[in-house]
Amino acid sequence: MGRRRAMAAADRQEAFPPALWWKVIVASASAQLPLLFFLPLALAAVVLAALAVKSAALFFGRPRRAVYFLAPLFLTGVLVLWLHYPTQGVSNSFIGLLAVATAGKLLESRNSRDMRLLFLLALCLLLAVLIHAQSIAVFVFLLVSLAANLYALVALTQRNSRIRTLGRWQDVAKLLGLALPFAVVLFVFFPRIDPLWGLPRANPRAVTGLPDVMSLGDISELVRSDAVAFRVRFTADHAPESHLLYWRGPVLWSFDGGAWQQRESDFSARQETLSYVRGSEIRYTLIPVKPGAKWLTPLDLPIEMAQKARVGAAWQIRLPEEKKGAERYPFVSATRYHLSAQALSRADRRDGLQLPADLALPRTHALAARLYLEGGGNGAGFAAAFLRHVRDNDYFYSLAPLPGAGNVETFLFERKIGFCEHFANAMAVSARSVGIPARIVIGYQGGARNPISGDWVVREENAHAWVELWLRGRGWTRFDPTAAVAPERIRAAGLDGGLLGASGKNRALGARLAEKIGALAWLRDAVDATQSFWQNWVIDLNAKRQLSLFAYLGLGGWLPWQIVGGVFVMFSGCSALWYLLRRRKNDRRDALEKRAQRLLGKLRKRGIRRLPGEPFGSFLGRVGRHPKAGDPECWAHAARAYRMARYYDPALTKTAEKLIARLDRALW
Amino acid sequence: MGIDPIARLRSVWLGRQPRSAEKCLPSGARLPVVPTPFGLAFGALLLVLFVWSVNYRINLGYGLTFLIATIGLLSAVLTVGYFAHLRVHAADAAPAWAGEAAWFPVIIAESDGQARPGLWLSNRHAKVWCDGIDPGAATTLSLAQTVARRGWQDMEPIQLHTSFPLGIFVTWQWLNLKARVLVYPKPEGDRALPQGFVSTAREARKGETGEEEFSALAAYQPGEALSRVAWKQSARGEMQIKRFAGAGGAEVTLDYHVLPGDVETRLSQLAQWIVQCEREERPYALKLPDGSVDIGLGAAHRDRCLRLLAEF
Repeated sequence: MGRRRAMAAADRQEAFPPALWWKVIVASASAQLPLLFFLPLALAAVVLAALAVKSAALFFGRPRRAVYFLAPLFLTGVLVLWLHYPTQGVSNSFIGLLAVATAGKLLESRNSRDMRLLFLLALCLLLAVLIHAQSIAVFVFLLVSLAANLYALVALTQRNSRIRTLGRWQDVAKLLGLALPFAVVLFVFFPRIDPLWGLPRANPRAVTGLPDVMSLGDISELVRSDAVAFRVRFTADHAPESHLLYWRGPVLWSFDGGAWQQRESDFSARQETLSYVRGSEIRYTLIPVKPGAKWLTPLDLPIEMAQKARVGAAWQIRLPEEKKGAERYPFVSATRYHLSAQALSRADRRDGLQLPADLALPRTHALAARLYLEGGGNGAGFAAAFLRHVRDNDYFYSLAPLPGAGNVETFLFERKIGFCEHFANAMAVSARSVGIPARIVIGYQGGARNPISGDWVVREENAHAWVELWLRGRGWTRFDPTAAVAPERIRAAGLDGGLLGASGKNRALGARLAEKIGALAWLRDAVDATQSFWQNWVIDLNAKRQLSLFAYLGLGGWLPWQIVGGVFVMFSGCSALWYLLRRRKNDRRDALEKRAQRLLGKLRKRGIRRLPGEPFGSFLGRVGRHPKAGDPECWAHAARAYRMARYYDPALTKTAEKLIARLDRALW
Repeated sequence: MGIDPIARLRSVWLGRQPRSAEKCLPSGARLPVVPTPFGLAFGALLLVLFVWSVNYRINLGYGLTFLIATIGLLSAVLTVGYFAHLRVHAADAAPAWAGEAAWFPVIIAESDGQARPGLWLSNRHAKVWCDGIDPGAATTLSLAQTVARRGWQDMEPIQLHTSFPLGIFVTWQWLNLKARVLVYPKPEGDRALPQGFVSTAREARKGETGEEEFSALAAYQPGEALSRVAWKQSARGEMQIKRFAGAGGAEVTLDYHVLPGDVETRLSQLAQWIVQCEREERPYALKLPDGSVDIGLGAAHRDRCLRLLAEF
């Protein structure tokens, strides 16, 4: 006991060289850095301040003085966490606490135990980053940070040793490179386990993607992002034509003059009757990419789908609330279908015709009535006439509509410039004003096939809104006024935004550049294919996909545990082999002997033999006096170096090796 | 302090193994390796990371956990590799006093051509740090062992251990090497030196003729200073040595029989007298029941006497 206390006292007294401190600080900072992007700003500031204080204390040669800042910074951090708790949730707050605790530990650390604890905390922080993002870039950064932390740990552990192993960056990189294949094999084969206990949703604010409510302007905001919303893999690469690529999202019924809202009863009522034309089925797998997405957006219209999702009455599919991360959803959709073709329920008719009572639409109503008459007094005729009207008059499609475009009257008769939601809004309101049931569907339109991976990628910039009118005998039928005014957008599956004049400026820069430059487009495809691979085989790897992989590799009959056992056997074998190889390579003296033997062999071929018992050094000297040998001084020099290396100073081995190799090369 | 049962078991086990002055450590696969306290914390952390990945379904978290675990396991391979095929050789220690430390030289030689980082060498009493061994080189350490009893003592089992490179795993090896040390009795006792036998004439002359007065010849004992050899007289045959009256006072005979008390007390008192005589440069003879040393002075004479005491 007394001895342990004495050791602890010695530990406290130990003063570390600044170089070691810097390594520890940099390693700890590298683990905290990526988290700063996900934490509240004030918390990030606290963590950065702690790092700055410790660095300054070290700079002035007093690393232990930093402890004076511990109490204020730690308390500030906890206070910030407490204030942000309502918006951050449990998980995020816990990660914040971990970051603050690490910063505090860094401030007060003074001995090797503290530094080791910092190492363990850094590993925790690295995993915490993965809760927020699992992209390739993040993983590469994690590797770098892990290397930095190992480097610091090696420097700490071996601080008293004259000879250090793994003491250089290259060595740590080699260790990582050696561990990586085993980790990859384990990663692929290790059986995935269901969560051991329930957990709250990781991050409530991460919910992105399609809105539940369409207030005019929302979708044009979404379209400015070229983030990938979801991926689709069509079975046998059998994709429908691009003008059929409507990805169905939420269905909006009620209009209050400013925004379109969903109908809650859609998720308690029975689904509308569906019939489809045989032969129009499309099979595919949909992979949501956005971590917090709320909606599944299948191709219009899904006829078979994953059971996990909640399907609304209008065949919109909401993801369950507690679902986390990406999953894969196999779907079958029919592109030609009829929805509620026979009759419309009283409630649906009421909701499909609802208009705010205080909304004055004299000119819209007049226009709609005229178009209705022109179209022969039926719904289909009205729709055709309306589409013709927006195509033939000077309506323009733009992401930057003029102010007031949200008002149907202003939009239809004055501004005439709008985005998809304005056209959909105008058409739905017009139809309702003449008694045709109408509703708005938001979702995505289009998508781009990645020629490298074969996946279809739908990005946020493909977000779209269209109209469904209920026509007698045909049921709810899709009409897209945007297609009438800007057919290019639909035809080119959303990638031709550049043709749309002013609107092009507002689309995502990456997308616009990709259209212009072929090489860049290829690069974008390549990056996307890599991301898709990452998504398929790293982020989404689950028990089912593992089994299919085992079957593909011919390991179908194996149990995962057997494979993991096999990996361990392989690991021990390889590490033993590595150890042997390392020894062989490091054995410089053996290498010198080999060089000498090679030279002897070559000389033997030329008829010069070593006499029995003649030392190699003297033999070299003798060969040097041979008339063909060239400069005898070279031979004498090598002989001297060999003798020195062999019998006096092993440090000269490398020099001797080089000199003998030179003789070898210059041999006649 | 109770006797550690593990230590006792170990000493029995080591005692059964053949002893030799040099031992070669086995290959890495045959060395023990267990986690250090930090390694246990590291393992617990891995478990936390794993459960975290499982519960949040973070696939990449599995990957990170496996990567860190693999690095930990690789570090175990490195740890045992640092000890593999090291040759450890122990030499006899210089004689020591009972109750004090004997210093055993321990030579650790590397012959695989691979640099070895630092390691600890220890026994029950002490611990020394070796700061690394160059490829193909050897390093000599001195390990202290507290010796309690007089006589020939064996070197106690020594242990080598290291937790490099990451401090996650530790490997160790206990070795029972053949080396011994002669332990002299502890110089103890407060009896005055026995009366010397100095001739009255010499005693009378001493004051006026100075210290370097030649007094007598005596038989040479190995270890005597060569400057005192009476070469002229020695030329006739047996080596003679000059005794000087002024060199240290009266010659004394340290006799076991005149001392009271048990054996150890007597031997300690004799050792104490020898030390005192050497300090005062007073020639002395030693008489034991089973042997005696004739009169003499100097390191070799002293060692001869002390050796007799130690082996008594």
